[in-house]
Amino acid sequence: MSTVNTGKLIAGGILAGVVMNICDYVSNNFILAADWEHIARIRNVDMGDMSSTTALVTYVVVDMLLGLLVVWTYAAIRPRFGQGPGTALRAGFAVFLAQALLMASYAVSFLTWDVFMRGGLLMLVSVLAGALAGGWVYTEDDRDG
Amino acid sequence: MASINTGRVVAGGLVAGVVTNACDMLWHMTVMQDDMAAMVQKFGMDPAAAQSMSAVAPWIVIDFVFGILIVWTYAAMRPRFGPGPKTALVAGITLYLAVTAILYGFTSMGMMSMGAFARGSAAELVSTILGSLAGAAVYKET
Repeated sequence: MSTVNTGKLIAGGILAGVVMNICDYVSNNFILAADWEHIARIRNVDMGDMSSTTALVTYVVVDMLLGLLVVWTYAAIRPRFGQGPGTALRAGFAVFLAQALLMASYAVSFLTWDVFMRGGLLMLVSVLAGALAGGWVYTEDDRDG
Repeated sequence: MASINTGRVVAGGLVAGVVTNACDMLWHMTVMQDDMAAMVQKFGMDPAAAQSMSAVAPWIVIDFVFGILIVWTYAAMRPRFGPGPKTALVAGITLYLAVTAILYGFTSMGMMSMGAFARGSAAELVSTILGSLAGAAVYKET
């Protein structure tokens, strides 16, 4: 069994992270903006904290790390399912489901179920788009040059 | 390449879910108790409602689904890394990192203190590792 191609993993992960950052920026600053204001109001969270530079930078870094994680998962499950978009989507969905389960646990307290549903759907789009982009970059020399 | 043994994924996932549920219950009653109480107060929730079955049930179901996801990921990664506890840890920690990254994002938004995040993440790491090892021990292919 060939080893994971670390260089391509990083390159694919960075691309996946960029795609996810773009998707999440649009989602959180336009589509979900009113929802986040509502959550901040009902949960006693300072809107300044939620939209601070610290939070913004944190989410950029988090999305880059998630991009690497999605492509890592793709590389790890490739021998099972083969290369290609189907496997990239499986990897993306596994990572998304883990995140969605965490969000669901906080839908009980911090979020509301309707915000969870909207946010979860947009997160799914973001992670799958990142997985497809990152999986497209990831190759292994002994198989697909 | 043999296909994934779905029956064993479900069986292993349920075992992993029992283990993670037991661990999480222990953490909530011990190391996370004060943090959970602080979050209930901060979010303006009724403490009795936060302890009710309708509030706890989703957490239980979520742990079982997470357990199945861990064992599916283990099964998916087996051809790359081989069967055994090492691959189980790789699968579990991969998913744990995805969860922790989002939780850190929530923390940066002011949802919880950095201390609560650190304690919760450490506790969840233990839950995930034990759940992964237990679930993977049940998973077989042949």
